[in-house]
Amino acid sequence: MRRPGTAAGRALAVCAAVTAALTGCGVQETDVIEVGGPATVSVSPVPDQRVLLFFLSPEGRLAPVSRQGRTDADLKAGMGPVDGSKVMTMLFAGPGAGEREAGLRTALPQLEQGVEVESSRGSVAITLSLDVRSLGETALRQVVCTAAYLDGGDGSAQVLVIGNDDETLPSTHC
Amino acid sequence: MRLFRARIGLRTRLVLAFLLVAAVSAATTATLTYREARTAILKQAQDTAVASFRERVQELSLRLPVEPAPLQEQLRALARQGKPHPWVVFAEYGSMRVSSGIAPESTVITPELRRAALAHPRGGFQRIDKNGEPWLAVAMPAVFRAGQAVRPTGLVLYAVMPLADEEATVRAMVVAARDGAVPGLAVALVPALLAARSVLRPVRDLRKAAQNMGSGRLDTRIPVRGGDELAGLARTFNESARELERTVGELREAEARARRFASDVSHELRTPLAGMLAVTEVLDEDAARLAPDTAAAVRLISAETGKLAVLVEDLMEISRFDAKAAELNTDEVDVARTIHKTLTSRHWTDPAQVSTELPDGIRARLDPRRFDVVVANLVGNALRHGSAPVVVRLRTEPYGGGELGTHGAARLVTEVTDSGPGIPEDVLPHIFERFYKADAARSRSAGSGLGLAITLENVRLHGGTIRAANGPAGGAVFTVEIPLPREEATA
Repeated sequence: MRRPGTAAGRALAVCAAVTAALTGCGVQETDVIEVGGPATVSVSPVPDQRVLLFFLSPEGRLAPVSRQGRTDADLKAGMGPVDGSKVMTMLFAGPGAGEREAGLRTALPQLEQGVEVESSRGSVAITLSLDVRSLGETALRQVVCTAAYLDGGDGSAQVLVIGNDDETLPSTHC
Repeated sequence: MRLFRARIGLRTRLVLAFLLVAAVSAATTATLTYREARTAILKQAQDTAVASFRERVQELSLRLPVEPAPLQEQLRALARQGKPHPWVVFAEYGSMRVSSGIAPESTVITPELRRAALAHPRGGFQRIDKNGEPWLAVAMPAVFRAGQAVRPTGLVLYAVMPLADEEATVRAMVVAARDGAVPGLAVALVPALLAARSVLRPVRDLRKAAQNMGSGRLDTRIPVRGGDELAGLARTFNESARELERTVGELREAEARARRFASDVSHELRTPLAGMLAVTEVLDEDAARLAPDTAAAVRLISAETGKLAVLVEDLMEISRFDAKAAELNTDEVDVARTIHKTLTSRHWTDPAQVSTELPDGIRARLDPRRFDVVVANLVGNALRHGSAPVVVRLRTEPYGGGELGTHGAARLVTEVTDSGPGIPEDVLPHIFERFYKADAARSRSAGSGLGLAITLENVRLHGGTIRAANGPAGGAVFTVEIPLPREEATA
């Protein structure tokens, strides 16, 4: 009488435990689960009119900034894209007031002299008046990515960075 | 009590086993159903939320860097389009935190979700338990098309919505499962009890039948129902009972035949013996006038004939006991006076031979003739096999040996003690057997060899007991105890 009683009790307890373990009532927490791709948003100004500069977010990731290049009127007047060395100078000048307010920063030093840009089909050569070996990796990526979109480029160009002592870094792309 | 508990035990076990099976199957079904349903409910909510959020975010048009004021307007528009539930939308860009609500930064979004959204530009979600309430946080990094490539803008949008409805649905399923399982178990109790009954009824029948057999009703049989194991058991029981009844019947018949034979023989012997006794009396009277040798022979014949007559009488008496024909004719008597009468009629009046310790006033319901036989046999036996003086004692004793209470049951104790060497230990257990000879050499004693057996039967007829033992002084002590009815217990 007592033995089967405890046996049945034990079995019931096991059942309850198994049930509890299997279900865990209610809604459980999960890890991060990735589902599908990101959301593609439209960025103004439109690609023809913008100048893309790459600064850094507070976490140190590349943060693109889209500044007004040509206006509608410029386009109608048949004006070409903004001059490459001018864009690079804008990059080295660092983020503007609004951009800094959003937490953007740059890893590039101030530049004394201008930048020479030579672009041909599919490749861009940037000549800087500084020791390019002293540039960090993120700083270099800022330069390379900005350069890839110079002169209406589509971002796939090979970029050569040349220093003031003719030191040339291996060509890379953004 | 043990039988009762055992019966409850079997029923309880059967019912428990049934309920256990029912509970396990109900729990398993409920668990599996519950898990599937919960997964489906949550999956639908999550997939809808992620897809609709992505769709809404893709309608956004931004400037880079993102400006907080227009973004907040856009977030508010987004927040109104929550699907499947209203959501709060948060945006994180650089060090900028903007939301559609009041607080610019969510407390629900975890660092892991932030890290994942920044590291891989992919939509993602996480279920979070916040103070016991489930929340769903969807992270949607915003990317833009730049030439050939798609580049992260650095802006990540988060939609945060409560899963209270889903939680309620899931809980409702648990309640439904429980509400379904409990009546299910109650319903399972019915077949459990029926099954227990169908097993227990044959067992109960069998027990009753076995009890009947034990109390001597060998014609007990069990009705055989169906063809299961219990029916097989009942059939076997019936066969065994039939065989037992037959064997016992044969034995009883043989025993009855033997008893009848002894009884018939003694009856047949009585008539010629009566004639012989009459003849030997005449011969005894004339013996003095016969030649000495002839006289001795005549006396021997006379003595042996007398013994034979006693033996036949004793045999007939014991036959009556065996045939259960002995009757108890009780009468209210003064026990001391009855014993005196017995001793006087046997001429055992010499105090050097037989002394008595008989308190007056002890009255009991006895069969005077049978009590006389008991006392006479015991005293005669003591005089024959022990030696004088023989002491006859009488007293009453309460059962249990305590003080004689007014309400306690009491017994009449008659003790016959001799002054002989006592009874050998190996003889004591057999002393009341028929024709048992204590001494093989003394095979021809004066008694019939049935005296103590008859004494025992007479005491038993009174509902009493008799025992033989050796006293501390060495003599044999025969103790007869006869229960007294309560109202006669007061001496």
